Formats: sequence, C-alpha cells, structure tokens
Amino acid sequence: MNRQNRDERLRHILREGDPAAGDPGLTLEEAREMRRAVLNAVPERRRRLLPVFAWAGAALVAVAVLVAALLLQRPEAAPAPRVAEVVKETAGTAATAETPVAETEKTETVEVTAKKRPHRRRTPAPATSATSNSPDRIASAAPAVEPEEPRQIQFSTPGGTRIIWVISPGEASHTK
Amino acid sequence: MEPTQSQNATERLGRLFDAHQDRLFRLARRLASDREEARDLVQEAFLRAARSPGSVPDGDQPGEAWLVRTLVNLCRDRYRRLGVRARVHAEMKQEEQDGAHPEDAAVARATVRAALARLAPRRRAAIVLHEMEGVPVREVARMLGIAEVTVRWHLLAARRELARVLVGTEKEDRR
Repeated sequence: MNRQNRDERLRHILREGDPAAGDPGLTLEEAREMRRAVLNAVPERRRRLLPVFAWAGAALVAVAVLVAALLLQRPEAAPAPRVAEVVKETAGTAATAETPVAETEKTETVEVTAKKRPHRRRTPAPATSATSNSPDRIASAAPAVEPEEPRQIQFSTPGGTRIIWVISPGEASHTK
Repeated sequence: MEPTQSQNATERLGRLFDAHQDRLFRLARRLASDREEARDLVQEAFLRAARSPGSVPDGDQPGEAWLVRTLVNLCRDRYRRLGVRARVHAEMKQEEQDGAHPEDAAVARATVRAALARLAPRRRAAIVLHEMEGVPVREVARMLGIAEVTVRWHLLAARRELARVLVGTEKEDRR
C-alpha cells in the first residue's frame, strides 16, 4: 500500500469513526445555560473607568479656567498709551502746545532713542555740538539749571487725544 | 445614552457564542475523550474570552481562530495535568466500555477516539481539523497560530501514528 492509498484509507476510517458524528451537539438548554454563565463572567468595567473620567473632567475644567484667565488678561497687556514728558522753558509753552501731532511724536521718538541707546551714536564728535540745542538736551539739562520753572507734561493716547499738563511750582495745575 | 464598554463586550461575546458554539463543540468532541469533557472545554474557552474581552481580536474569523487556539491550549493543559498512567487507564476503560457495544459504528468511533487520544493535543487538532473537518492547511495554520510547514509536519507525523494503530488494526481484523 503506497502512501497516498494509505492516507486515503486513513481519512476514510477517521470519517467513519468520527466521535462527533452521532452527537447532536449541545442541547438548547445546555447552550442557554452556558451562554448565561459566559456572559455573566464579563467583568463590569464602568466602575473601574469612573475615576479616569472624573480626572479627565477635572483636567478639562482646569484647562478651560486657565484659558479664560489668559484671554481676560490679554486686553490689559495691550500697549499702554505713549506718554511723553517734555520739559521746556516757560516761554516756549504756547508754541509747544500748538505744535502739530507729527512734530510732537518726532520729538518723543528722538527722546526715547536717546534714552535707550546713549552710547551708540554713529555721528561724529562735531555733530554732537550741532545737536546740543535739540529738545532732549534741553529736557535733560533744564531741571538742573532752573528747577523752579513751570513744567509741561504732554500725553498722547493711541486714539488721538492729547492731554497737556502745565505744572507750575506753588500753583494748582490746569489742563488744556 | 451610549452603551458602556461592558455592554459592548457582552454583546460581542454573545454574538461570538451564537456563531461558534456549535462548531467549537464539535471540535471539542473530537479532541476530548467524552461529551462532558468537550462541554467543559467549550465553556472554559468562552469564559476565557469573557474574562479578557480585549484579547479576543475583532472580526468573525479572527475571533473563531482565537477560540480554536484557546480550546487546543486547554486540551494541552489537561493532557499535561493528566498523568500518563491515568490517561492510559482512562483510554483503556473507555475502549472497554465502547468495545462492549454491539454496533459497528460505535466500535469504529471508540477505535478512532482511542487512536486520536494517543496524539499530542496540537497534532490531534491539526489532523482533526484537516482530515475530519476538511479545513485547508493554511486555515489550520491560521487557527492554531503556527506556520503552514509546521502543520504539514504535524499532519505527516499524525498520519504515520494513526496508520500504525488504525490501518494495522484493520489488517489484523481482516485476517
């Protein structure tokens, strides 16, 4: 008997003597009982997951509060209205008050630049003497020379409103 | 209200049970020594699926393969637990009981069962799935989670062992 015939014969014997051949399978009652037992064995996961959801919710609320706080603070962090303080002689007060906005802003710009970068001037030494009459020089020198003279403070807001305070020593200040 | 994970797992397991309990019981009946053992094996396989629903892969075929593998592994565990002496004793007792039956079919079943019981569980599963249930080698490999070449090797060895018992017995009977 060659191998192929032997295998064929074996297959026939196995199928003839199949242990499950005469068995109808699980009865309806057996299957129902087994199904119930199996499904009851599924672990309850809802309680196990509850703390996870609680923590996730708390974290979400915390993040929301943080974001809201940041958004509320942002308008306050916007650039404050530029304030220029120019001290000039009393004689030039009226003229300064009538100065156009653009000129005032130019003065402020020069002043800020001078304060922030005092040692980075690229202009040569003779130019320094030429600019000795510039407003910022006057501003820095004026309080030292004549401390008793009236002072003028100008505010320029981004909305275009200009506020000028004139402060005279010994008198009440007034606003124009 | 959305169903919880537990409800989903229960529904999925219910579908798995309804779809495969009959086929799994038939396989268990061929692998186990008696009906009670086959029923226990099937129930234990489904209970394992219930205890760890995450380990059962999605889909009908992967789920079935997982159940078959679990069933074969359970058979192996029993085979190892049961000592060789106890196993041989149980087989002899079974053969005596079944051999006393006058019907030829019952005798044939007892002989085949006894011959199959001599094989190691995985080898037994391979020969049962391929030769008795007609499952292709590739499918057997997928279900048992082993390579096709390993399945072929198991089949070759199982045929040799079974032929020695069954075909040899048949020759003696014919004389």
